[in-house]
Amino acid sequence: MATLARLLITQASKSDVPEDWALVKRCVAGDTEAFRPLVLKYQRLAYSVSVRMMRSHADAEDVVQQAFVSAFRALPRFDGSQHEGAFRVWFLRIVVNRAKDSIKARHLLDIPLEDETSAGGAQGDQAQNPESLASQRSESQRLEVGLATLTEKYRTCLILKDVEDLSYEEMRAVLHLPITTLKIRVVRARAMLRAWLQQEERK
Amino acid sequence: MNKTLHDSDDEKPILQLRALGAVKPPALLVARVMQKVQEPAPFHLWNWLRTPRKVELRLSPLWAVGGVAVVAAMTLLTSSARPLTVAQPPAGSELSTESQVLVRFVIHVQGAREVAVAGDFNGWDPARAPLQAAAKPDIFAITLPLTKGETYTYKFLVDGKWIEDPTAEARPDGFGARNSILRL
Repeated sequence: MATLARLLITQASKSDVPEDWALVKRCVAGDTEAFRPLVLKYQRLAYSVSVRMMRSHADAEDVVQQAFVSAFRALPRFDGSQHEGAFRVWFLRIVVNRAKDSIKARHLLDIPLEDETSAGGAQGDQAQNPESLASQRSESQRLEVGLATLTEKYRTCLILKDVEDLSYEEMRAVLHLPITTLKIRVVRARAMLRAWLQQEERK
Repeated sequence: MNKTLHDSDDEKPILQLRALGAVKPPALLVARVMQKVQEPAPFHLWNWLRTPRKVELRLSPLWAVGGVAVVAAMTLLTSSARPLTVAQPPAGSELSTESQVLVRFVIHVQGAREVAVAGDFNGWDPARAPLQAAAKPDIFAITLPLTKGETYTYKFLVDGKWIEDPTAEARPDGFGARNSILRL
């Protein structure tokens, strides 16, 4: 079993991975195992976006798991024949929507991102002061905390644009917002994050 | 701290954010997802209705020929049951709808100034149906919506004088004169 899993992981990392659309068609035809390469391929992207949106590893895992299951159930309605990147954007939209719903449902508004190094022992959602955390951390950790201080709509835009490097066209497909709105949000989010970082540096 | 972080131009990306990279997902995530997707999906009527399905119809040529014959027979039967012509009013042309027909009353009267038509359809009030002079001289016409299947009696009023429609059948009005008849 372990050998099979290792083999699949190896296959997923190679360039000869079957195209997403071909895998989707196999899934729709009833081949559930064809979904595994898609999960392997997109789990990092989904988890990275989710954990930065949710600011909690436990919640992020729930979101990603639910997103994958929702995507699998919705595959018969997905048309990925247009271009190869269609599944990535479509799935990312499911992840982002799941995360937003979860944030709304649990009122997770001002909880900072957990320290990943201590996440294994502290999976809870205990709110910590971003300012106190920032002084102890490296630049990347400070950026994570700074990102976590932004409200959800600005945080999501900055995660998709500057962290995941999506184009505005892709962001529009994911968030269903006009490109002008997205550009404004990204610019504001950058300004807010820069201001927060400058403030931290002065301390 | 890199200079980019303090760049006043917020249209430029914060490059350090791109360097944050991916967060490693939990080791068991794939296994959990695959376990979930292999479970039977809960039934949701809305999802079931929205999901497109392939419908395959297998038909032998014999059934196909039979089907075509039945459709052809039905078409012939329904078309033969329909009347081929609709009775035309004697005095004009018509544009028919389901319950009403448009009847055009036309009369040729030399030197006439005012022409109207009155009958059962307008309570014998000539003021409600004045004929208009047509493009040709001495020709007057009006189009009125009348009910299909009805029989009307009518007369033209030409410069104050009642006259019958010269192109239509007529019957006695019981007062020593005659009215024109229009059967629709």
